[in-house]
Amino acid sequence: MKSVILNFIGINYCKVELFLYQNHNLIYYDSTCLGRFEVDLCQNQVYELIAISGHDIIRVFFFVDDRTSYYFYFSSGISKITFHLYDSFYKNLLIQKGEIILWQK
Amino acid sequence: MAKVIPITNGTGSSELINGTYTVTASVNGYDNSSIQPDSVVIDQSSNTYSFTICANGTLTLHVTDDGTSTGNPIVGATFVRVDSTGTEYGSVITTGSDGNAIFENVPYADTDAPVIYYRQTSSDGEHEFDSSIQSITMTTDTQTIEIENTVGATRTIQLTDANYDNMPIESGTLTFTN
Repeated sequence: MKSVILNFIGINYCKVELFLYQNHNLIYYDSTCLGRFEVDLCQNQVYELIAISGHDIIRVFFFVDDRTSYYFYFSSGISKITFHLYDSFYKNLLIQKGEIILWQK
Repeated sequence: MAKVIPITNGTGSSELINGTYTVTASVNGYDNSSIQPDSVVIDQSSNTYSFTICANGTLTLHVTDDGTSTGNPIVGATFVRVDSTGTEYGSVITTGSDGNAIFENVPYADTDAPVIYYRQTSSDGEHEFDSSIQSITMTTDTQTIEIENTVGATRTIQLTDANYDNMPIESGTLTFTN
């Protein structure tokens, strides 16, 4: 067994409920408002994960390898975003070419 | 974790999770530290976000009657920045007594600099000018372009009496307004 962090991204609702199954047996249940769970799992084993946040559900089988942290994304928290970049001195003049880089805090 | 959004003609898009982000820019020819806002909260309230960035170059348009640095300066010629389709941006600039009109805050770069479009919108009323869209790329922070506004051709104007063929009007003035 080793300690693994399961992180949940894109939470639109405060609470996340997590169910972990192995061989159809529930081995773990908890809920949190923090978006992360620390659980003890066996390396080289497959687990079924069900996470519920409001009306959004993640259901996935995942394999525990040598990593200690995993990330799961709720689809309702992911949106296609359009960005516009203008010249600040010449109002409404669009920048011809470049990149905006977003660093998640 | 960084998410790079390519921008083409002012617009880019990406699938992104809600959250708070620090924003940086990589735009050739511009001052990348001037990106605003430099922090953004992406949430359900909007799927469109706008940013601005500025450049620090200076483009001087020197207008004379012969298009050289030593020609007679044309005072009162006006210019405006445009895009490739002719849409105008920013304030009109006007030549002073030295014949210079100056675009501030324009982009420049050693290589692959953005194209700057501009157009002359008037001269001093006594000189011809080219009103078509012009373009330049600046490789240094300051640059001067020599522009020729040739003296208008001498025109002969005749004013005759409408009821008596070919009878010239002895004296008077005509005013032409452009």
